[in-house]
Order: sequence, then structure tokens, then C-alpha cells
Amino acid sequence: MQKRILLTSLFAVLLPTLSLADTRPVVSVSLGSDRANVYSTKTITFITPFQNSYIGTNHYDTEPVIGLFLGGETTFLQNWAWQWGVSYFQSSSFEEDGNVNQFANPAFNNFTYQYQIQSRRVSLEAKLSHAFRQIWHPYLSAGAGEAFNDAYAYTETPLSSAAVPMSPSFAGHTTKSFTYSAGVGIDVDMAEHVRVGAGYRYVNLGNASLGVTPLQTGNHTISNSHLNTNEFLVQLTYIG
Amino acid sequence: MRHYFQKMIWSLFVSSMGVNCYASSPIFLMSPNIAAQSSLINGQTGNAVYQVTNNTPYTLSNIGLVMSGGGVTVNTNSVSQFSNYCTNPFTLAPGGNCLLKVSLNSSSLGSGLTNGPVVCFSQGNPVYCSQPLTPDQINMTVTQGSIPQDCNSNYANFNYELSQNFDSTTSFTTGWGPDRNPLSLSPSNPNLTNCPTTAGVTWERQRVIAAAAFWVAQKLNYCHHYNPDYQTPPSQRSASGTSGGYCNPATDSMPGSVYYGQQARWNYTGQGSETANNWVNNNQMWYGMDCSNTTSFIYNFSFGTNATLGIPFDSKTSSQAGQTDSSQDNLSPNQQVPSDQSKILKNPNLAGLLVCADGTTDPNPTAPSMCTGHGNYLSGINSSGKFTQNLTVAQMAQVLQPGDLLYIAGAGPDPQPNPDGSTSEVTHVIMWIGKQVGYGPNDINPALIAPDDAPCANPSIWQPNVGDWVIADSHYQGYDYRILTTCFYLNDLWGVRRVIN
Repeated sequence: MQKRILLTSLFAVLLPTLSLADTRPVVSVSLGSDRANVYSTKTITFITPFQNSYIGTNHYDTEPVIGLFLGGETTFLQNWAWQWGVSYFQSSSFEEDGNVNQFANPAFNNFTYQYQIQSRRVSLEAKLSHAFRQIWHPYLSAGAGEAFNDAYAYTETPLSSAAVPMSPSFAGHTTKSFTYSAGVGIDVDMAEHVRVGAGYRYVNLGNASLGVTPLQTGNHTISNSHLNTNEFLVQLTYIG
Repeated sequence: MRHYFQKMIWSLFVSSMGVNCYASSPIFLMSPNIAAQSSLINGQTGNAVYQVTNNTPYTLSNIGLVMSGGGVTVNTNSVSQFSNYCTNPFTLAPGGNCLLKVSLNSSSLGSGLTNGPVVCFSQGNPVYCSQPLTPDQINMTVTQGSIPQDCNSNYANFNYELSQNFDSTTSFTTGWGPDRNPLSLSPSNPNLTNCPTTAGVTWERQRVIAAAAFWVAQKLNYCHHYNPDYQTPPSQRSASGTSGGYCNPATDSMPGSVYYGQQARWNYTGQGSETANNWVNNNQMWYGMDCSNTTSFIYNFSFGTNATLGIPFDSKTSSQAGQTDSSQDNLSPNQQVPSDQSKILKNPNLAGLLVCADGTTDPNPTAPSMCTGHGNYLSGINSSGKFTQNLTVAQMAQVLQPGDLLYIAGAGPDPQPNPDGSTSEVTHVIMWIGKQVGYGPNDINPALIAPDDAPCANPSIWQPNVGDWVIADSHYQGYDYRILTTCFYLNDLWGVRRVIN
């Protein structure tokens, strides 16, 4: 619902702009990969004073990402152009793995753990480009918006047939978080209305956090405070 | 593909970290003392006993069974001041242990159970949970159908016996542990109380042999204990070989076995709880019974209290054999003098009747017939107290019946390393199984034949061959099947008693 409201609001702002004579509508479809820093280490209290440590083993996970941009392009001076609009991007679920040290004691490393993080984000984006030799459009981009980060499917895998995971485990949880991005890239005209391009951008997806288990004391849970992401994209753009 | 390689590299990295930094250690070590039945008929109740050891450096309280559904519950009927059974819930200090007795209600287990039991700290907040290692987990199938009520279908049914408390709650002997709490036969569903009377000697022999098989399978040690579930406490583990609480510290002498030459039970597999570490460092070698406590226990386990059969009989070897006191240490069956009351083997708690050389029994212990007309008593000792050494296994096989108890004099021609008494003092007892080594359904597989120890430790003496006759006894590393040899067993044979007549 919130996403729908945001999109509606953005279009309410953008449509008058798009109607300007020197503004051309833009639709871009992007495909690429997100390499996110998913590393996390947490210590959680279960039965006071006993705690478990959850120590991540993978620092990064790379997953495919797909996105859609709707907006407009306005040219100024001679070869400069602004694009602005709203985008929606969604990555496949990142996977975070780690070790569970029961009693926060490495001697009781009895499980590995794993959970998924799926990030969906809606952003206002702007792109500043300059045309070279008529067809090349190198650009700088920036964006800001809101990410909806789902942390879910937490599982523990026993490292011995004698170890039994706690049940229920950490619940899934969706964290709404501020997200922003900055990037560079280049587009090239393939036809009068069609460009293809490639780019890189840094995206901070914000926070992700699992839910709690009723077995724990307090609300502290496994979380990723900054999902720093390196994003590589190719995009196909239609300009009206 | 890249994802795959990335994971693989991380796995290698984490694995290398694991070598240096991390270790998997169960919160609780769970070793079976009495394994659960492998199958039950819907409606039957099974039993299992596990030693639960707190493997952490922390005192843990409110430990209990969880995640097991209604089919697995704690049986606390053996909890007493003398036993080490777990209450529900229970507390364990670091390294502390107790025996968790569980009941398995087949009617709540669907088609069976293939894991657990699961023990957690805490029972109400089950975060720190363990179960036995895979080979030791409950692995039981539940079949549908009505529970047979006849004796013959239940000769190997010990469900009711296993549910009872083995241990006296009022009498305890330091070292030896709690006295025996006499067991009884199942009174209902099925009612087996009259089977010893109605089903005859064949049923009785089948049942006692089945009981022997059950306890051989538990792989307990040889210990000076009255009961199989008593553990010599750490403070008494230096007990001498003749004292209560002693358990055999022998090394594995089975050539080719997993722990050959190490201090571990000869038939430990190295899998699950059957490890040398568990044997030595997690108390498993400190459970078990000696020879005559085993025979006394197994007969009670098989038939409950039965005046006709004279069960329970005494658990002291010489008393079980019939000797009334130490004045009869030199008295063997053929040395009795019917006219002299002091030379009659008439201990009121002896086991069954003396067997004659032709396989018949002498019916009245207080007025011995001396087996006149039956070739004297079946014994390696003649009326002059001399060992004749002329008994053969083949001869024994002709006259013995399954369940017969053979009493051995420890200071005979093949003396024990440290004979503790007079020439014909009875120091050992074994049970004739009536089976031979072989691979048939009614044979004893040679893999089940245990080594012997001094004075018959040479493998050429005890290693099995197909066709060898088998006995069951507790010495060396506990209750096992062994080959009936002339060495010690027959050369030093004091006499034979038959409980099932």
C-alpha cells in the first residue's frame, strides 16, 4: 500500500513535467547484479546469563537485480541532459551464512545458520548526462528512497547428529529503511528512441533484521546494519 | 556457477577456521544404558535408559525432555536416594550426569520414532538441546494389530520388566550400590504371570535365553554391582578387584577390533557412544554386574518372583551354588555327606537343583541323593575333592539344558589369577545357552563371541569355530557370549544347577 501511495505521489509530481514541450518521457529496464555486504555478528541472550553468538562467515553475496525507471529527460545547454523519475528495483535474495556458538563459546559451535534477505526499493532518481559525438551519453546518477528489506527463512544446520536446533527459531521480519545510491555509467543511442547502457553504482540498502524468537530474552536479534551494495547494471532505455 | 565457487571458497575458509577456532560439542552427552526396543505393537509401551551428561562448564537447571510429543515421557519411578536417575526436570553441574528413563507410548508414536530423545536446557525454554548421536537414537517401528496375549508369543517380551525400578529404595551397600528390587511379570496386556506354570519348561528356557540375549546386547562391563543401572561413583573407582564398586579396567583383547589394545570394550564399534573415550571418560565402563549378580538378575528379569522356581535366588556366587557359609568353601556336590548336616549344600537361597552326570536333577537339596544310579553329580571334582579333568564339551552338550548354571571353582587346575579361597570355593558362574556358533537364525554369530581372560586368555582357546557350544557369563569386560572351553570352565567345574525343571 505504501509503495502504491509513493508511486502515485511521484507520478503526480512528474506528469506535469513530462508534459512540458522540451521534456521527453523515459522508460528504462535494468538488469544486473548486486554484490551486498551481508556480514553480521551478534550476541543474543536466551536464558540469562547465557548467550549465543552468531558469527557470519560470508562477507558478501552476489545476486541478480532487476529494475524499472519511469521519468523524463530534459536537455539544457547544448549537449547536457537531466533525467529524473522514480525507480523500482528488486534483487534476488541475498544469503547470509554463519556459525552459532552456543553459550557464546567457540567450543560449542554446534550449528551453522543461514537466512535470506530480499531487498525491494522505490527511489527518486536523477541522472546527469553529456552527449559526445551525438550518440554517447556518459552520466552520473544519484537516488534516494525507501527500501523494504525482508529477512526470512532462518535455519540452523546441526554440525553433529547430537545437536538439536532450537524451535521456534528467529521469525522473518521486514525492515523499512532509507536507501540511497550514486553511480556512473554510459548510454549509447541505438536508434532514434532507444539507448542501451551500462553502469555502476553504489547502493546503501539500509538495514535488515530478522524477527525474534519467543525463546530469547529481549528484542535483540540478528541484523545487518548497512547493506552496502555494489551494483552493476545494463539498461535498455526508451526515450519518447 | 560463480555463486557456487564463491561458496566453495568460503566453505574451505570456514573449514580451515574450524580446525583452529571452532568445535562442535553437544550440550549434553547421551549414551544408552538400556537401548529402546526396535519394534512395538501399537498399544505397547517401550523403555529406554540414557545417561545424560552435562558437557558444559556451566550448571544447568530445569533440564528436561522436550520436542518429543506425547509418545516419549520421563519415567521417574526409579528416582531414589540411592539411584542416579534423573528427576523431571533435573539439574546437572558441569560434568554431572544422571540416568534418564523414558517410556515410549507406541499409541502416540504413529508408525514409529527415528530420533531422540531430545533433552533441553531448559525444559520450558528449549534453547540448548541435544539428543544421542545417530547410532544411539531411538529407532523404533510401531506395527498395527492386536497385542498377542499368549505366553509363546511373549517369551521375549520384557517391556514390563524394563518399566520397573530395578533398585531397592531402602537398602544400599557402599560400592555394590542399591540392593535388588525384585521384579514381577506383566500382570496385564499381556498377562504373563502364569506363564512359568502354564507354558512349561520350553517357554521358560526360551525366555531366559532371550533375557540373556537382551543383556548381552547392552554391552555393560564386569562390575561388582547388584544392578545394571548402578554406576560406581568416582570416589570409589580405585576399589580393588575383590571389593564392591570394582569394574574391570581391562584393555580390548579382541584381535582386529576397533580398539584392540586400548581401554575400551572389545566390541565397541567406534560409532556413536561406542568409543574408548565414552567407555573411560564418560562412565560407561562403570556400569555392569559380576557373574552371579547377573545370573540372579537375569532369572528375576525373566520370571519375576517365583517360589516354584526359587526366584529370586542369592546373588552371591557361593550361596547361589548352595554353600551355606565359609565352612563349606571346600564342599562340592560330590563331597556332600547326607548324614552330616554340615556337609550338605542347602543354602536356603540357592539356585535350582544340582544336576547329575546323566542330566537328571537331584530333587531334594536338603537330603541329597548323591545322584546314585545317575553317575554322581555333574562336576569336575570327585568325592575326595580332587579335580578329575575328564569332562568334555561334547559330554556336557548331551546332558545340559538351556538356562543351566555352571559353577566354577576359582582355584582349580586352571586357577584364576588371584584365587580368593579354598580349593573348591565357587568363584564363577556361567549359563548354558544351548546354542552353537553359526550363522543360522538359532545360532550365535561368531562376531558375538567375546574374548576370555586369564587363565584362558590365549585366543587359540576362546576364538570361535562354527559348531562350538556357547555359554553366557560376566567376566573380563562384562556379560557376553563365550565358547564353552575345558580351560577353566570344565576343568574347574564345581557343579551344575538347573533352575528350570
